[in-house]
Amino acid sequence: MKHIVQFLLAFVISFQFLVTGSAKASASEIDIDLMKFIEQTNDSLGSNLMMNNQADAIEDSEMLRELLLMVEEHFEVNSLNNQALKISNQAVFISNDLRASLYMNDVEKAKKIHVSLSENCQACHKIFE
Amino acid sequence: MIDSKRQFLRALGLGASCSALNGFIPGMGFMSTGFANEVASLGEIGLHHESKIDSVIWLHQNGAPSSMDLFDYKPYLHEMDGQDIPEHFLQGVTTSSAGGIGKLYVDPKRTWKQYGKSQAWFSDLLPNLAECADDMTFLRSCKTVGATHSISILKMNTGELRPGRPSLGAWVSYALGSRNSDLPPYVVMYNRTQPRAGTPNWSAGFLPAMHQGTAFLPGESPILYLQRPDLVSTAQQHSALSFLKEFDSKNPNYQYDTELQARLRTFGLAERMQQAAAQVVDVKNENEETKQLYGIDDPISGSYGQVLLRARRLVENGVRFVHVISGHPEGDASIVDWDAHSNLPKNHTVMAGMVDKPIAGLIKDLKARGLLERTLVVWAQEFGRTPWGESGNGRDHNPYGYTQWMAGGGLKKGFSYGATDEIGLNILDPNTAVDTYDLHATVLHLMGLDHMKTTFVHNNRAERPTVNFGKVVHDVLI
Repeated sequence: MKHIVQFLLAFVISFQFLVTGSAKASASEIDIDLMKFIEQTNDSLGSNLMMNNQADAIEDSEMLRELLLMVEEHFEVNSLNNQALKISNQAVFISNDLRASLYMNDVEKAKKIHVSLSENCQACHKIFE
Repeated sequence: MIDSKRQFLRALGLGASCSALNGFIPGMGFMSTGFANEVASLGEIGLHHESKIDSVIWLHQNGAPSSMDLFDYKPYLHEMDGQDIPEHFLQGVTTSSAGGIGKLYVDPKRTWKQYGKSQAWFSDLLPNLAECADDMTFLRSCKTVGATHSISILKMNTGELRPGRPSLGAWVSYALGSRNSDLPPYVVMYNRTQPRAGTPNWSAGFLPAMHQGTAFLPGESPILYLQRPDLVSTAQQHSALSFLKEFDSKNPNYQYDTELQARLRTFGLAERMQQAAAQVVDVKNENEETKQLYGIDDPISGSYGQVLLRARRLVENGVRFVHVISGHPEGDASIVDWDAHSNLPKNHTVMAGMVDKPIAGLIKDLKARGLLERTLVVWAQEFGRTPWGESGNGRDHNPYGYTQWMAGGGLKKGFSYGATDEIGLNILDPNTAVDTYDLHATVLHLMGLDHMKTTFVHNNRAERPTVNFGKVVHDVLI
């Protein structure tokens, strides 16, 4: 699975390079596509948790954590909104907790934390509709 | 390693590039469009734990009534009538209404009183329901997403703002199946009008099509073409249906085609319903006392009362989920639902007059027959209404804080959970928030289902009724 992911991501980069002429984005840039990717990753994580696919859930949780760190960094760099920064800090904290539960083989706990993580996302989108 | 991964993701841009990921799901590979998993999941799920209830009567109050005019008494709002809203109440609140945020408003004619041992407040609009105060469990800290009826009604019924997901009743039908093979497990009824967004509100979504709600029409003949044509004998009809079933089941695609399966199942169910359903939906033989209890003798409450009496008869006969949408009384064409952007006093007097006696009658009747302990009655609404006035004496939509209630088995009776702020705009404590997902999780819990384990694999992804959300409100349970 990881090889397929790496291959696809490499393909996507090459494709974007051809289309846009640039493979680099700003360190603090987030947009609707990033948010959709986060949503898809979160959906995939939810699905893997429900199916007790621990290995795939770990892979998703790692990916999600990376993405949430990017969001956190965006609010740290731009200092746009203290409340959003607080929520993004919380999101990273919860995603760490979720990841830890999975590594400790506690999928049931991870499922509950996943609900909290999704609610945390929703709390931020109440501000940024 | 982490830094390089982050750089890698950043290098992706995740802008235009993400569109190239269409069809790919992280951790899952490419999406499959095959039916294999759907077919494998056709079986019923069954109970996860002991159920507290057998049936649900889901009373959607179409158009969104104002909690603060019915059962969420706000003395401070009365004190502040006609004044601007103090700024601190508006944090996190956005409004898209044409009139913006107006001055606080209360109906000067409204009177309030406490009822029962629980001392729950009711306005004079609900004198009959108030008598059931000690059987009710209030959720006073409800919230939702969206401020337009269609999307919030869809979310209330399906957990999604867009059409396409299964409704709560469809999940119940899928998970638990039918208690009476002669009747559909999931029935939808309304008096005079359907809700906005229409039939997707009782859709089976990606679940097998057989789990969609069966809509019964309002009026004296709720099921069209229930009677077999005179020219066709019982034996001929049965023979034709048997042939069709045999023919279709030999189709090599039969096991993958859930719509075909649903159609055949519906034909079989329709044949059995010719015997059973006509009696169940016929309320003529109910005695006068019962009809009066439901307000059927009153032109305002008559049509809704008839629907609720049918709802009782359906749960009595084993229907698991009865989804009732409040329509409107005959007569005044200017009032079609609870949506009172102007002249709320007139609107709510009519609409409360339509539902008050029938709902109270339903609770009392279920209780008298010993059915309330195994039935759950839910007052559900897409959102609440604002404490400020719109167009003078109306109220706008409010998804930030409102009241819904339940009555029936497994609940703390005469109990209130959560609260809104002093003017009824926002929930007071975010930790007590009850979103539609939480309400769904709680209803399923009472039915003996764990919403986290009530899953269906669709396109290689496990789906559940509460999407990625949902917490059972344990504080309201016995």
